[in-house]
Amino acid sequence: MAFPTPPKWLRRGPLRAGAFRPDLHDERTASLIGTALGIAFVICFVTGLISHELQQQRPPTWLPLPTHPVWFYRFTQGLHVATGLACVPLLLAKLWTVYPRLFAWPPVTSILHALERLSILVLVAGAIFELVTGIQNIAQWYPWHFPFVPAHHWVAWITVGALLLHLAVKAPAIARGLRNRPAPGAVDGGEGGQATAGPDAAVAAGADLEPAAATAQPGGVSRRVLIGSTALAVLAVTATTIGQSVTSLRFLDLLGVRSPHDGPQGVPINRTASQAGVLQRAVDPGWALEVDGPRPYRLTLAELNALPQYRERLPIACVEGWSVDADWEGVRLRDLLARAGFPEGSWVRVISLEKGGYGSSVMQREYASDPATLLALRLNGEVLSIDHGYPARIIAPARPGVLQTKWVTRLELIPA
Amino acid sequence: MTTAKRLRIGLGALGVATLGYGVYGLFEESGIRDETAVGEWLIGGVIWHDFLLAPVVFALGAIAYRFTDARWRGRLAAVLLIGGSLTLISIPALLRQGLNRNTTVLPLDYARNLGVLLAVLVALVAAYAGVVRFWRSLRPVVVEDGEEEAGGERKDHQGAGEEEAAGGEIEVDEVVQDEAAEQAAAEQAAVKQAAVREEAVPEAAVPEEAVEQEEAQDT
Repeated sequence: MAFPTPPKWLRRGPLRAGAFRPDLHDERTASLIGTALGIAFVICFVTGLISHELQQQRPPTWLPLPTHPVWFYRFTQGLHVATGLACVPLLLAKLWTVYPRLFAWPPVTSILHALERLSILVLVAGAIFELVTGIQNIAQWYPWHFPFVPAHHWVAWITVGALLLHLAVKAPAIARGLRNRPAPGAVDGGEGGQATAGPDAAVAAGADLEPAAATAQPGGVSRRVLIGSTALAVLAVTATTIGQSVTSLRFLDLLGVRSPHDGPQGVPINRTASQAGVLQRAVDPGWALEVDGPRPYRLTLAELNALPQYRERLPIACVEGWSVDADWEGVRLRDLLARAGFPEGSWVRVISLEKGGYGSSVMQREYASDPATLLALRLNGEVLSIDHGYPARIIAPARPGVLQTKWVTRLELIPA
Repeated sequence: MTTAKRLRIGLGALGVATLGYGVYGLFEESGIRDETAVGEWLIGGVIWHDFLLAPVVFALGAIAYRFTDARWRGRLAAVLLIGGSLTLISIPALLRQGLNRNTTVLPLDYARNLGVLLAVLVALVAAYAGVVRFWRSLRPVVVEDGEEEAGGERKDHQGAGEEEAAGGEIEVDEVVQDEAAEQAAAEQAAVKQAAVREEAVPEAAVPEEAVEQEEAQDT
């Protein structure tokens, strides 16, 4: 494939040879920042898959679900959101470093090279998409016409696939970059073996030959400044948001989308009673808990309060990354299930007064049989506020907050 | 075929399979009816970055190059990256504050907090520059105006730079990086200083600029 040399009038701005500094847009800078970004993406992907698997509502899962430590989900999801936020400066710095390659000439040298550039387009598009949608989701802002969860999930697979392909293609360049070896002459590593006339290569080769190119952008921005600033930016982003997940650092929480303890009874809320449309039904004095099993029964709130009560300190940890520990008090779920004659190790469907997608949840046997799982009636020493699920809600250890169903009205046995 | 090459091909194949699984899932398993909306946001992000954000950043770099001296460029870059990252992650909060019926979502005053953070960032960088200048002023080495060209004077400056590094007061871009940088040829430095002169940089800034430039070339 032969591309004509672009006419001189076109070789201006970013298209001019030597427009970018060779020492900041090189393999070493790209591979150092890229390594940090790659690790961050893997953390996001793995923690994201954990969250996805925990939210599956179909029995049985192939995975044993952890109920201990009780902060398991709090940790993985807090890490997911914190790492995603930390990816913002990393991705900015990485894209800044490799930006000159956008203008490489000739644009493609072979079919393989064209496919490789296409895979980078997929990688960049996927990476930006994941960060943008994730950051908007934690602020509960949905200005798009697709459901967030499946889009974020499946684009993550696409992005990680493109990342693995990118690592395979760039392996020699990454190895050189991390070992601080120079790229072999003007030949661009892993780009199909043909010397490219891209800005990088041109500058690398001509830095000392063309004073104009060499002094195009001298100055105080060294690689140390770039990487140091990136590290400080990661630190700044993390420090000002991590307080929403790590309660002891809440005094630093200046930009977090939640503030721990900011909410009724010292706990934030994801969906209010008003949003869930249960304002009337939740305070209906005729409310009773129905348990549907081999020996079905109904209990009024007074009867529930008369049963043995247990207190557990468990975190409520949301998919949006925030979490906070709280004291929950109520009846052990497994006691309620045993009373209805549920077989040991049953799965349970929890049904709320709320209608729609969050109106019921499936609880796997690991949680249903755990003594720490409560049908909670009180929170931090007070009767549950209506926004926290009055008259009764589920609280189970190490579970996503979205499955801690509020305004519970009915428990059903799920046939194995 | 070497083991390394086999590993690379295997990794690449795994990548293609993973990517393909994601595309399959997006179209077949996701329950998303309007895949083009996802596509628009995918491509939109790239356009937004490559043709809006990145050109603005590079243009700012070019402006900074024209109007500031080298010592400030590193600091400005740090402010831009740190402040820019904080601003980007705050955009949803800034735009959505007060619009959610649930008041525990976005409970903070984000405009104020971001303003304070950016002001603190600028103040820290300025204070840092002041500390560096003050530290310099305490140094026993006195350089007369007009003598910067001499190789001996340059060495004094570099020596001082090392002292600062030992004292922990030195900015990253001003640390003399390694032996090689110290032993850089004097005439090369002279050429660069001459080049810097042509850019009409203030006389007082020349020695440090030369050191920095040299360092930049060596990295």
